[in-house]
Amino acid sequence: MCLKLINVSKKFLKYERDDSLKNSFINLFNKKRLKKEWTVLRDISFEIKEGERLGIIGKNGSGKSTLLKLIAKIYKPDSGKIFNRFNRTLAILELGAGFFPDLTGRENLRLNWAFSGLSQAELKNKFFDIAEFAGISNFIDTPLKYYSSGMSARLAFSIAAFSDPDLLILDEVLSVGDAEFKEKSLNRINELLLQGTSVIFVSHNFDDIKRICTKSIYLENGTMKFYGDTEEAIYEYEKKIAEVQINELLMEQT
Amino acid sequence: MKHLELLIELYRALLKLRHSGSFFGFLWTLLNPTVYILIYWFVFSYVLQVGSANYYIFLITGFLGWNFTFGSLNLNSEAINQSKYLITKIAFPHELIVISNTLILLTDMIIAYAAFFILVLILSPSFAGNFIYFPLILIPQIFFTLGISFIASALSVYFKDIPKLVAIFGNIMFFISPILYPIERIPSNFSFVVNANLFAYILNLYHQAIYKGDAFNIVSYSFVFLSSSIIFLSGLWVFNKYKAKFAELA
Repeated sequence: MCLKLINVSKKFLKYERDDSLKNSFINLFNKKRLKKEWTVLRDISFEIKEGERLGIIGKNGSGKSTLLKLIAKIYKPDSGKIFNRFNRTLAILELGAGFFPDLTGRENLRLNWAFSGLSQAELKNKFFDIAEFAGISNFIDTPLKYYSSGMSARLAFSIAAFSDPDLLILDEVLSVGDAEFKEKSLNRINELLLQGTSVIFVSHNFDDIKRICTKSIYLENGTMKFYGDTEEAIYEYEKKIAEVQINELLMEQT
Repeated sequence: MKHLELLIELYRALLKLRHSGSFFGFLWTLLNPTVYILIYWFVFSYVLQVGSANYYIFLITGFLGWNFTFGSLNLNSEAINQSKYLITKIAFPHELIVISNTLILLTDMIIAYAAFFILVLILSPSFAGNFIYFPLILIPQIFFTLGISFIASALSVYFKDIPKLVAIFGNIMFFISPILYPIERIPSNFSFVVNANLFAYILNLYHQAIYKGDAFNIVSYSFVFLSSSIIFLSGLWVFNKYKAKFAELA
């Protein structure tokens, strides 16, 4: 089981967004407008083997989320190849993505489980554990709109944590919820790590990254500036931030 | 297999969400067509006096057929853009959104047909046996409906005007298909409007079987079945061609 990315690149078209019929007619005769491409990721290559935990750090807009979406098969790469040999990949790009406020906790749980491609038969065995871990056992038949944001975040995390993935993709998810929940979820992630689950983890919190990740990628403007030891990746990133800050200070003085 | 489970869950969720919070809830499934049918029946039978004997059977057959296909088309023309929050965060076959929406409208149709059947059983029991052909004709109609729904939902991601155009298209189809009046009423110099309208052929099948009680016409059924299958496959093809970009554009 492994995940391999070979020279993966992703571009977005800038003006494709508000294509009404009128605009597309204009674009039909004016090909140039469509060609305003913007490369979000350039030549990304790396490999994650069983049990490896990869951190991804970088500024906002450096391409971290796009990279995760490519691995999660939400986007398709424009060039390069992604081979995913993990049996069960689970991506949580946002806690509570796919939740409907008007459905109950139980209904949302069933639906979210199915969205992860997992069977309802398996859910039956884990149902109470999930509700228990999320601490919502008493509210399982209450519509989600009456949940606090912490409760629905806990439910979302529990679903992921109990789906026993081989590869877990997490985007900043630990930044929500209170300290207690964060501690609980980090512990659960550690349990998964002991089982040999591979992880790809995006975060701005270096302590979390250091705690979880064996290797890290530092992304800058869509390119891999550094790939290797986590401490070194963070050092490179912090060095870059410091450089930028010093330059700003110098600019101000002159 | 796992896609089937997701489809079932999605269908259940959307079905529940559809009427959640409204006072009449699930009753709207019947209330909505009943109100429209009563108005058309009043106008055409009493005001214009064009309805023939048992006009209500003709009217309801056509109306329910239209309601399923164009209700589904309307719903699906906005479905992908409205599911943006799912599509950009979760990887799953987007076809399931279209299929579950169509299944919801299909559920409406089947419930409405059950009520229609009871009505006929009370008012014109000699027609009740004709309903045996309903499931048979429903099959190509489902193919046709899925096909055009796939096309509209995929294209609407690229052209945001599609839902508005689809709504107008649905209204035009309502008046040029055999719903309010039999298709023979259209003057022969306009017959191309009828000949090019596959949906009219589908409604004609219903009318022949349920309203006229004709012997089942295997030739026109086969024609409709084949054409609808082609529409279905074309719809799937178009959807597949464009779905890779849904998450970026929706």
